[in-house]
Amino acid sequence: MDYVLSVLTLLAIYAVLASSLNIVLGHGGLLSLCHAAFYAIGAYTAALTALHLGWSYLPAAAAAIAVAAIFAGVLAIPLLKLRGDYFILGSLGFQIIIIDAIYNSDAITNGPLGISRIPRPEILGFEFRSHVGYFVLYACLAAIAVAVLHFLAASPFGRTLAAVREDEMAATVLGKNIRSVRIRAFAISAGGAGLAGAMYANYVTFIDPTSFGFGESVYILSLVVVGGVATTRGPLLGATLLVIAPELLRFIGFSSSMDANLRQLLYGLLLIIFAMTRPSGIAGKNVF
Amino acid sequence: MSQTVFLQSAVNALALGATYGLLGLSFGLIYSTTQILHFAHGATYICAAYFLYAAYALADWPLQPAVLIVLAGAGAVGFAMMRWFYEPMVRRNTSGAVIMIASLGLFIAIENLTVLIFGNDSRVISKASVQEGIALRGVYITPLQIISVATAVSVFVLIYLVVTRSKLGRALRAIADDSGVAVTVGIDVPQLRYLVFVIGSMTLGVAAVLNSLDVGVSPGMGLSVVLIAAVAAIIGGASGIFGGVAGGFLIGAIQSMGVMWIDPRWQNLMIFSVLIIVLVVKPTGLFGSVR
Repeated sequence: MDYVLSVLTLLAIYAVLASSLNIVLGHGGLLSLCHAAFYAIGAYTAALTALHLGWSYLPAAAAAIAVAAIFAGVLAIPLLKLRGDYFILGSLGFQIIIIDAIYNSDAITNGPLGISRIPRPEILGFEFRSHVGYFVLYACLAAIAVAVLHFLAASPFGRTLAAVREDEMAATVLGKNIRSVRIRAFAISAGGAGLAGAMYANYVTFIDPTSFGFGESVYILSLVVVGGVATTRGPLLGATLLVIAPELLRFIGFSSSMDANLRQLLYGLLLIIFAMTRPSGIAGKNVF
Repeated sequence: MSQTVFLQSAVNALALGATYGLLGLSFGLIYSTTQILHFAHGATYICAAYFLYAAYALADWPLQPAVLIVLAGAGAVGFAMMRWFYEPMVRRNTSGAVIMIASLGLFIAIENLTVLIFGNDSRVISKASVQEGIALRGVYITPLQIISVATAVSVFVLIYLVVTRSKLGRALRAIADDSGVAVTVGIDVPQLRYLVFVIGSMTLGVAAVLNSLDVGVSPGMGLSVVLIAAVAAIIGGASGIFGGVAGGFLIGAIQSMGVMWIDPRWQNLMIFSVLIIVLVVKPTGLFGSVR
């Protein structure tokens, strides 16, 4: 039972990651490869504010959202000057720069050794320790985050973002400031990744740079691509499928030493199959 | 800083840049003519490196036939990728973003398949990198460094002659310039795409041999190789075919000569900062021409 709850807790974190990437990737039509970097910024912000400043869980998570969003807003200024393939490469560049900076800033982030003994979540004196407690808390946080992202996508802001994706020229003619819309979308999306980072840091209680590398960015991308872009259901479906399916592999007798590689082989193959046969994903819109 | 240290770094930069120049050229050839962001190039590298490992280290063949196997194998892998992987998508007018996602998927699948077959450890296949070098006034040059530069320069010259002097080269340049117009003047674009993938992948195979003799083989190297190849091609100028060579030497210089001023652990950060600055300030690349 504890095992099932821990998988579901992880699923809640990935649901937030996939849904937040969907704002930029699906609704914005921008293929970003640096989502895991904002995830890392959120995780480190939550861990450091809790350990060094003694902040409790909710303020630390709020700080994680804010810091990730601010970083994204600033980086979006040069990044959004780029188009097409160059945008993809630029976002890949930022992914590597941010993780490298975290890796090498020993004084703040403890570098490759990572940060351990991150306090567990505590809200109004109640400390979440049990698997049930974590699951309930994270399911609530994920539900709130997904709901907020859903309403943002349906709001005038979300519709403007989609209009810019469909036809930049037409949106400009209608008086929309396409840069500002996209910068805000980037910041909101990174804020979601920041929240997921805070959730991860306080759940695993240990973080190091290797959890947030380029491979993780591609993994989050694959959740959205497989599930479907530009809908609320799509990323949730993708996260459910790709977080739970590899767990099933254990039951048919694959050793755990090959676990990580089998998991990656699986999502690599899924990316190929969906890109070649159904680029809109299981439940997505035809965006690309 | 002494003059010897400077000269030694310059020699190292040149040797490293030769291999990186091959990487940049191989990526640039493919990207400029097909517009495919070919991340699976990293998978071709892994295949080439393990062909060398199988033939040279496991089967204990002499180096020359092993190299021939690597080149033929890399070319075949490149051809297969274009024929059965990209071509179906290109024919259906799949967008560049989706093709890139598929390419990432192929890279991840092959990388992890290699780990499942050969394991994750790095394997040394030659002692060439620690062979005693020639000393010239305190500057050491290893035989492998000389071979790297000589091989790379021969490949550059060969491809340069093909591209600038032959009819085939003229067609390639026409596609790199504007593939739509190339079709209308009767150039067989799909046929040339195969050829470019074969040549690009074989060029990558040469780099794989040189690099594997130097640092060994491991599945994890595919990613760093394709990143260096892509960055070299883009900062050098992706609109032309040879920007990648210049970009490769530039990255080699940053890595080898940067250590004189900056802690080597900031290398990656510097290389990718250069990428972003070039993309924003001069998207045509440092040595690319404006169309």
